[in-house]
Amino acid sequence: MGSVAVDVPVGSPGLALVFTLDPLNAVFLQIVLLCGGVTLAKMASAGEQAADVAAAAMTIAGLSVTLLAGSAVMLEIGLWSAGLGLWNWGRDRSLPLRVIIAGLLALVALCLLTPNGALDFGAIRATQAMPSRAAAFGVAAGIALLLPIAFRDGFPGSLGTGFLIPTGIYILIRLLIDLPGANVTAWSGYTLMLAGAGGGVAMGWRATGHPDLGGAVDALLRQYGAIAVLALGVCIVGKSSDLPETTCVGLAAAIMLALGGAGLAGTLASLGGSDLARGAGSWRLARLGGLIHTMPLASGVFAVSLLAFAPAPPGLAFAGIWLLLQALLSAPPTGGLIAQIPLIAATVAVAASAGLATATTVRLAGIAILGRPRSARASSALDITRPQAVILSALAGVVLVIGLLPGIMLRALAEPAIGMLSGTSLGARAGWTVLSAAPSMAGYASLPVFALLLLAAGGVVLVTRRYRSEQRLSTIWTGGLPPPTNLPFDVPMAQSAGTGFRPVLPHLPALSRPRLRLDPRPRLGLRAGIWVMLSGVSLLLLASSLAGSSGP
Amino acid sequence: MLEALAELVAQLVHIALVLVAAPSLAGATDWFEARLAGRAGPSLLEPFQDLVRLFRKAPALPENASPVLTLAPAVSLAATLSAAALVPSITLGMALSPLADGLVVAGLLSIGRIAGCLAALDIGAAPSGRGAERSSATAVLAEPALLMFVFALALMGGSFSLDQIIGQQRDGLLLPAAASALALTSLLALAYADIAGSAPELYQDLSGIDLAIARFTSWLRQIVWINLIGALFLPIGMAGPRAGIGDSGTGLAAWLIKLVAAAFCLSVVRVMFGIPARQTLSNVLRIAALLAVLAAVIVLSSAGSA
Repeated sequence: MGSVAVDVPVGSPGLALVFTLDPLNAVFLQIVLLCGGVTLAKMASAGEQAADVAAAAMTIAGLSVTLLAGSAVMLEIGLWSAGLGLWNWGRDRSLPLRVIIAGLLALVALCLLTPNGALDFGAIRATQAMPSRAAAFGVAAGIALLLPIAFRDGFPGSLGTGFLIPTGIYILIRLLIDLPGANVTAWSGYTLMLAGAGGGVAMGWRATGHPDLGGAVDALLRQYGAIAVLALGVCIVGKSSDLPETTCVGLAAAIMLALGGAGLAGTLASLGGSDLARGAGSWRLARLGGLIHTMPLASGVFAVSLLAFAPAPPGLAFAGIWLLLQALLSAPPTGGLIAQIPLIAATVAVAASAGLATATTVRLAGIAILGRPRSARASSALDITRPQAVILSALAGVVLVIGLLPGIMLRALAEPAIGMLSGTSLGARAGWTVLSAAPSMAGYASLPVFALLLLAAGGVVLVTRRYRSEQRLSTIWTGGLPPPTNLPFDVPMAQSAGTGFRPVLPHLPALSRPRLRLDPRPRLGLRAGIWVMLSGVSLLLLASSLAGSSGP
Repeated sequence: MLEALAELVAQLVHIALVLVAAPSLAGATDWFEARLAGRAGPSLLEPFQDLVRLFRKAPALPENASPVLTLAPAVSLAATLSAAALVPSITLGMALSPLADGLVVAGLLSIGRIAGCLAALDIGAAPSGRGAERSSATAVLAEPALLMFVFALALMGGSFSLDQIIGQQRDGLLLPAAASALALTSLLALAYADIAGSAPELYQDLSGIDLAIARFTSWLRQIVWINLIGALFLPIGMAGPRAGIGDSGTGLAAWLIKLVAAAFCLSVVRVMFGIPARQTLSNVLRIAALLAVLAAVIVLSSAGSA
């Protein structure tokens, strides 16, 4: 599949408003449009306000323009449009501001890459240059989209994250791998690896302890976004070391985690989680529970998304992590021990993230869906309507199929892009049912493993079925003691509130945050203001003098 | 065709042996422990008798139980049985050996634990919820350590395939030896933490057939750990692919000896250390993770200087 570029005849010729469609943005566009379409259909069927639906549509349209952009200006227009849509969508202003900042950083990166002021991707690609400053801004642009935000009640932050993370990964791939061509910089790969490692562990830790359902889901999405960034870093390191296997498998892992994990499963988790929270009347995990009885449809959809996030076979996330560990296994072993430290750190971070993701999925499923309702509202929650269930079930089906057959996404959608960027085809590495690091090696066969599980579970159920004929219901055993009498909603409040799912870290007094609260409204006096202005002017003069002395 | 049939027969024999060995190992461990403590000890068949007794009891489900509570023990047993089927014991080259990936085995053990936690949370009682929390918090340390161990092993063996790694170990090609020793110590620590750290509150609200399945799953999990240690680091007597009856018999004898030795070692550890505190288990898991990382560092540094 080649690329197609279309000039938009608007404005001056030097503005370079270009749309392009190539294998790379095609795969991202399909997934973002699928997630966006499902979100809009769900919002419309749920009777959301027309203004919110329009804002969501504007966000998705802006991200689509970003993905189709063939020039720096078009990329900027797309990101700003998405930022404007996010601004109108919710009450939180930090996310749209970050999107706009990411657009500015991406624009600076592209301007630094352009020869003779041309902003067209084709011209940039032809020079195959990657100045270090451009790489720095490129990294910053992508990571800015993946930075965490504080979750606030009622804002569909995690919903926006499901679209933004794939777009951020796309920007990183475009700026750091596609446009530089063969001249990728290894340090940008190591930077992405370390940033992804830190972000994955930090977001995973946050997800295991966040008290809100939406915040935990948002952190889980960002965790997988960070792991996708790590996979991209491995891909860049492999490309800079001329290792096609590492490049190919690392890129496949990044695409699987970004699009399948954060994109498809993330959108499903966001939509399902928001339905659960609205039905139960609270985003707090400690106020949910027992929703499998009162909201079976929404609980089923949410459970499918958690299955995809759990790093266990045959889940979608497991396929991505398997590919990533294969890429790390085939990473360049040369350069001495110092050069291996980023690889070791990345592997430790992937392992830690997998453990934290497992704890998060158990926590969310067990506290929100299972058990007994912890509030009166949760005990009388209303389930989603049939049309909404049909829409979400379609997306859930896609998520399940990709988890069972991960080769489908890679071969059918991503193989042209991987071949274009890595210079080598996936080939037999991604069969329809098997993933392997090399054509002649055994690998991960998702469908046979699932069949084995199903066979074993079915056998156990069949053998033990006749022993359940005298099954009876009973009350919960409370250790022989009378139930506590001081709980606001009786005994169900004595259940786990989801606060003990992560290990207790050793107390380090030097790293403890001070408990002093700063004045929330620091007052800037006239004298202090003058000093701030003088300092700012001095810094500007210093920066301009340094820029002038380092010019050509 | 004949080779495929032989592989299938080997696989079925392996699964049958593992199913019988699980309660037998539990009985032998209890008997050794009692003997070391100066007592006569229970019958070796007591675990089998316990299973029969529990099968006969009518299970009692909490009123608020969902289908998860009914299915979770079965899923946990299925996942653990699948892991046991993939880890070779007597011979290599079984029918399911193409699926025997180290990460897949780690993932299946994780599914077994996840299903147990979900069943405990579905009960909706405070003690079972607390047990689920403890199990998950411990797994946050255990699963990354296990993944790092698998990665270190894959660095030595060049692949995540268990058959390939075991084959190289049998040929003495799993180098460097220092990394292999560290990886073995890491695996021993992981096995000890998993076997000794199972939270009893997870199963306190199960009864009848569900409790029988949960107990059997915990015994089967011990077999998986023992088979991993024996196959990856002590493949003495293990038959190769497409082995004859004689070699398979030798492999069976070697495996039985390893099981008896493992039961004795487990009982010695139980008598000496008792039930470890939660903090002790956390420290053991941290040490296991550190040893696995060190093993990986040694492999990479030796590969880089080669």
